[in-house]
Amino acid sequence: MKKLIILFCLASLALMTGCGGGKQKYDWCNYSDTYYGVAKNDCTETQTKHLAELERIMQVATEKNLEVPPGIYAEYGFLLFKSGKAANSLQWFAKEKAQYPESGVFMDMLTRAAQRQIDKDKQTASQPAAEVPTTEAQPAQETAPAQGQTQS
Amino acid sequence: MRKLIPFLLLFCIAMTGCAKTVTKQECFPGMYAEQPKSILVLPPMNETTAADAKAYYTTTIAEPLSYNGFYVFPIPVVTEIMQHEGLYDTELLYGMPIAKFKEQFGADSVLYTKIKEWDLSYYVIGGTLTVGFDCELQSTTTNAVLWQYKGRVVVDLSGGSSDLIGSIISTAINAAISDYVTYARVANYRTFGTMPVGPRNERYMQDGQDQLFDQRPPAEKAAPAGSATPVSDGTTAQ
Repeated sequence: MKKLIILFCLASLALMTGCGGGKQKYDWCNYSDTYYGVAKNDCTETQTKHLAELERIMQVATEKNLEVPPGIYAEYGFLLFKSGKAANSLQWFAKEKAQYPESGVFMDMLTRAAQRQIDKDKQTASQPAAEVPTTEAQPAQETAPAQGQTQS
Repeated sequence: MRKLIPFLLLFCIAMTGCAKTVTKQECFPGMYAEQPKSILVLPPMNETTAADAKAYYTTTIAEPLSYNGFYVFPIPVVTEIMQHEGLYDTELLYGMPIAKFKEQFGADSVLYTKIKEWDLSYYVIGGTLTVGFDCELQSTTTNAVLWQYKGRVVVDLSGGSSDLIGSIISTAINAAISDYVTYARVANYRTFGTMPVGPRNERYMQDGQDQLFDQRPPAEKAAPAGSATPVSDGTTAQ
């Protein structure tokens, strides 16, 4: 019953805003729930769950032939980056930028940060300790995404 | 099913109610003039005593905005980067010059939110979640307020089953934390129904004549009055 009511709310809302005519554009799966889990209690368990949910969202999008919702690729890449896989993160930032050009400035910033980390890892050649990127603008490195591709 | 009937009736009343209507274009001309493509959501200012309200809001907001046709910057990533910059304090973020968000993230607009009310009330059967938002979408190029919403959303938490015991049990189940995520999402969907849609929605630039309840001046006056504020659920009046 509860589900029915919620469904009814959403359905009538969709009808009223008029966007109900088209097909579903995205499927966010249980994104809110797993993200809430992390927000409430940031530990390995909730993080793993959220990462798995991001993977599921991408998989479901392929299966149902939907678009991957905005920010999912970027968030996935960022989580890889934080876990020390800077080289792997680059392709996800590139994917986000390709699907959502609106994210360009932000993805370039993340790509530069990942690139710096990769360079640093090479130099030290020790265990990577992911550095969270800063928002400091670095206009000198506008070609960073291209570099990223060659590095990965 | 019978439980649905009062709900439906209420809904009809809300829709046909005596509220004055206005078109989206009249209400939010800035949205049509500037045509923002992307929204950067800042963490909300929580003015309630419900500590969880902030997490509920941030974890459920991206979805309705994306369906509205906007690019929504990944909230966890943005939040973490800002925290790394020492911007833990929401007040500090809200005081930042808005042009910064364009420069560093490439955002067309920024969403500022104050959570005014987050109340759970339980009755013998079921209960309600009342959420009061005060939201403003501001342009990063002109600083203009493109869209705003002030009002309350009431979400019914009742299980809706016809027997009393069943209802009490379902209310207890509803109290499980994860369920509120669902209700928070419903509240957000209603709140953002008044926003003119963005370029990734098929009705982009075609919703200017959609009718809204004109909640601007009365809501602005009534908002600080707290519990005396009439319920306005922000749904479009088509």
